[in-house]
Amino acid sequence: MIQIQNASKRYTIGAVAFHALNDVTLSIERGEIFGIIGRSGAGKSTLLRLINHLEVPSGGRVMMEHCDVGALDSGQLRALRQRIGFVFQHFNLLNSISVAENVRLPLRVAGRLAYAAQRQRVRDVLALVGIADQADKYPASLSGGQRQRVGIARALANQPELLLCDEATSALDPETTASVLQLLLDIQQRLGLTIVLVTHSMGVIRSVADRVAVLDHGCVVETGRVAEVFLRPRHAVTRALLAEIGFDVAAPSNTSVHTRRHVIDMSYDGMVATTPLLSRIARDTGLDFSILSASAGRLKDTAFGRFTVELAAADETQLQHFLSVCRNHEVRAELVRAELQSRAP
Amino acid sequence: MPGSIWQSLRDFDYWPEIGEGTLDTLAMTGCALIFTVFMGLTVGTLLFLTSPTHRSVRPAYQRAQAWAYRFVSFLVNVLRSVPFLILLILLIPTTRAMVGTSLGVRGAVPPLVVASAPFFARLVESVLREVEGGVLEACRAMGATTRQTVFWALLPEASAPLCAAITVTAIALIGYSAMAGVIGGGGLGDLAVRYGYQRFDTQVMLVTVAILILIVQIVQWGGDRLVARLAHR
Repeated sequence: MIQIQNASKRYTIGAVAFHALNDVTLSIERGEIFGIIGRSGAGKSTLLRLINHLEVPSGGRVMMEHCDVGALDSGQLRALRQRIGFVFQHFNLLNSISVAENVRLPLRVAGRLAYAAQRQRVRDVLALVGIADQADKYPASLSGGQRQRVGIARALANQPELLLCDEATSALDPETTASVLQLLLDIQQRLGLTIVLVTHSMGVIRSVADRVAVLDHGCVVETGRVAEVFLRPRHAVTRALLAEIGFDVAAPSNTSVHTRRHVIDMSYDGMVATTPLLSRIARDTGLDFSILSASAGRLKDTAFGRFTVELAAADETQLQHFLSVCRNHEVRAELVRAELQSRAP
Repeated sequence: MPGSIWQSLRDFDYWPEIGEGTLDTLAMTGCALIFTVFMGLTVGTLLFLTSPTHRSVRPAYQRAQAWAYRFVSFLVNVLRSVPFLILLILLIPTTRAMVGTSLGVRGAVPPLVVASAPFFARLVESVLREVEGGVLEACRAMGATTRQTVFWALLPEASAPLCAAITVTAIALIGYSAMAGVIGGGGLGDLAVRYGYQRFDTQVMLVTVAILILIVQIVQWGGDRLVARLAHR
């Protein structure tokens, strides 16, 4: 649906040029929730704003359904933006008008519906986000979570196919964050939306995203399925971000009692995660192993597990046997450390 | 003692003149305020839209905007630099051409507008700058035109402080209108100058000042109430 091709963004402040984005290439599919994660200043908001050209790229281009966004004239660009919902971190609601009028604003802008139909649509989307009873209040009298629901309702008013969320939950407390994320998931499933979501929290990615791109200093350093990136992160920034939510990449323990040790990293996700894998592997190989670290759980709707195990006194053939059994069970297994020297007591 | 104050107020000979002067002052100020608000909003919004903090993303427009800002800003500064009394005199031919006379209520309105519109325009510009940038970005993101953004978001969001700015301008206009009296503008200022200054009639001067104080208080009170009503904080 969206192709970002070699996009870069350069700002010049005085004589100093600053590269916010460097040669970013991404492809976002219709109907998925795509997460963009990075530390503050990594350029993720800039990247999101390129999609509807709130920021114009200094190089490269953005294609929406095979149409170059940069080639649109101002009228066509406005028409495109009317079909894209945008949810802001700080809601950006108008304080001078009621909740219902805030939600009606994009409908007035688009000007395709008569007044009565606009009012009906406002009622519908407010009901969809669960704040139908707040329609006549002013934004200032609402809580943060309710305000973000108004923000989402406003973004949905024109029935967009694409929703862009810029740190939509970063100004909210953890409980409210969870409920707003649940709302995003709900509406995505109900309306078949495509959602691009910028965040600095792997927790958000974990609970809603299908695919993720990790941004660092204006470059995409890693991109892929969320389960893939969580279980087998390749870049240091990804690992650091994962560590922040306690999703640590297992560090092999030094307290091992065995003199010949093979430390193996095992990870799996999908249907296979719902079977009693470890005991099956133990039975099939006839080998003993101890678990050095483990985590298992769900990423959005994918079950996953990752274990670091130590194979007791295994020789090379036993090791290869173990690895192949793992593979037969659709478990990715990697030897992360082999220590063959015996340690003096 | 209080009885004698009431006595002297009852014996005061100039009530008809005072009444007429009050009405003239209100007419001058009100009329000038309407034009001032209209012109000031236009020019102030123009200043805001072309100001360096709010430039188009397209480089071709940026240069045009920068020049528009410099030009309008310079014009506003020039008008604000001229002392009102000098402006009144300088504008006499223009005023005659516009409303047929440079005297009386009608003759006072054009110079009042010329003096207060640039002042109000600057107030409008600074009020609009205080509007949260996020609101304007939200408008851009929903595909609004500049006109839609100005009328549906920018001005409504600024309505409370704009109302306060109008109050300030209205009170400044009351002061200016008294000065317009010096060159035959009519109103309470005219009365105060003719009787109080030229004929040494302190009583007339005190009464006009008292009425001016009353008008200013009422305007400020009304303005404050309106501001409180518009602010949905």
